[in-house]
Amino acid sequence: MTEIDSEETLRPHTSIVANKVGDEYILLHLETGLYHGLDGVGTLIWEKLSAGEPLTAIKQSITAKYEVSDEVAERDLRALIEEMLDADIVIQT
Amino acid sequence: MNTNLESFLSNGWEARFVGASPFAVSASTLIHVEPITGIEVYHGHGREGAPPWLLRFPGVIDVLIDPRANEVSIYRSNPEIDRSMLDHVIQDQLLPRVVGHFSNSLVLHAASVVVHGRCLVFCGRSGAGKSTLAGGLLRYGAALLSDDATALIATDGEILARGLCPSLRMNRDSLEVTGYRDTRDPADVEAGRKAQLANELLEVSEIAHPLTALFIIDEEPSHEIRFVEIGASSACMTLIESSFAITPTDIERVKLMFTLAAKVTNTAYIRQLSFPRDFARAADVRKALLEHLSLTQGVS
Repeated sequence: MTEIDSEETLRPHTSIVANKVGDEYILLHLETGLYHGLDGVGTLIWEKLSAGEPLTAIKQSITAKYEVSDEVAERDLRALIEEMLDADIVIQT
Repeated sequence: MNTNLESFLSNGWEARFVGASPFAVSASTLIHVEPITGIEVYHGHGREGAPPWLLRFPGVIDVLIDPRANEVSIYRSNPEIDRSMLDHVIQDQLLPRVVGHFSNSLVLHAASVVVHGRCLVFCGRSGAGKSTLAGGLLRYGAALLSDDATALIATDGEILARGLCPSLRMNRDSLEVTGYRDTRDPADVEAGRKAQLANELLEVSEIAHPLTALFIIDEEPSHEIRFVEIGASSACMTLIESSFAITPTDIERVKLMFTLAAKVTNTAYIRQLSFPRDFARAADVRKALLEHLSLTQGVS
């Protein structure tokens, strides 16, 4: 598992093209040709990541919007970040 | 030969029918094979300075596409192919891919009609029932835009739909249920192929119309007739999967198609249409469709 520091910022891979449809994002990785759909939480995380916010700030946004505990927000955030790193959707800066 | 190509590509594209194919291509230049159709896409076809694309429609035609010269050259690769098959491949397979690749529109595998001034698009795979739906609506006073390929053009706050080739091809069962008799080549029906209706039977429209509704045909047959709202990301992905282009390996084109599909998803009224694949219930499907759109008034 990749070590991710809470103060770390991640940025979208340069081969990612993102379009918002309805309230959700779809991401296209131009190198793999794969499309990735994001749900509501995923969309919030993507918008914050793209804006350069660190993981701690993103976690606070999740707890505020979805009224979940810090632990739940942290777990969901790290799970999605792991998936995004594995799929080369985001990279560590 | 009129391939209708020039009217969709604004910068002076021309299509010409050249004759027998002179090409012997090297497998090393093959960059893509479409899984269902078997259409082969070659890049540069092995010669320095050659036009970028060679498309081989197996056993029918080879096509050189030169975007620098805005030229499409069509070569017959099998002299025994009849006119009906040749027209079908050019109109329903070549034209949508060229327009889908070189225009600013999203070309969907979709039938389209205009009913009482409302433009309806039915998106679905081959055999999904697009032509039967369209043909049935024509009997109720609709005008045909296309039975197989429809270009969607995104303008400010509006999506326009235009048929690529206003012809209608149906198999025997669909002909019977829609009541059409006269086909251009009765041998097609006898051979179990889809037959193209004589165009003088149809009211067609070759202009772009503001899109009223886009229906994605559910591939699973359903006993009930249902119009189901689907998620935006699912709708967008279906539009991308249903779009024509020369090859998915052209990154710039893929990006544009993605952007266009997102615009259509964000702007258009889109529903999944589920219906029974039972010709005896075709009239029920048509009725439900018109009721869904509150179009029953004035329709006899």
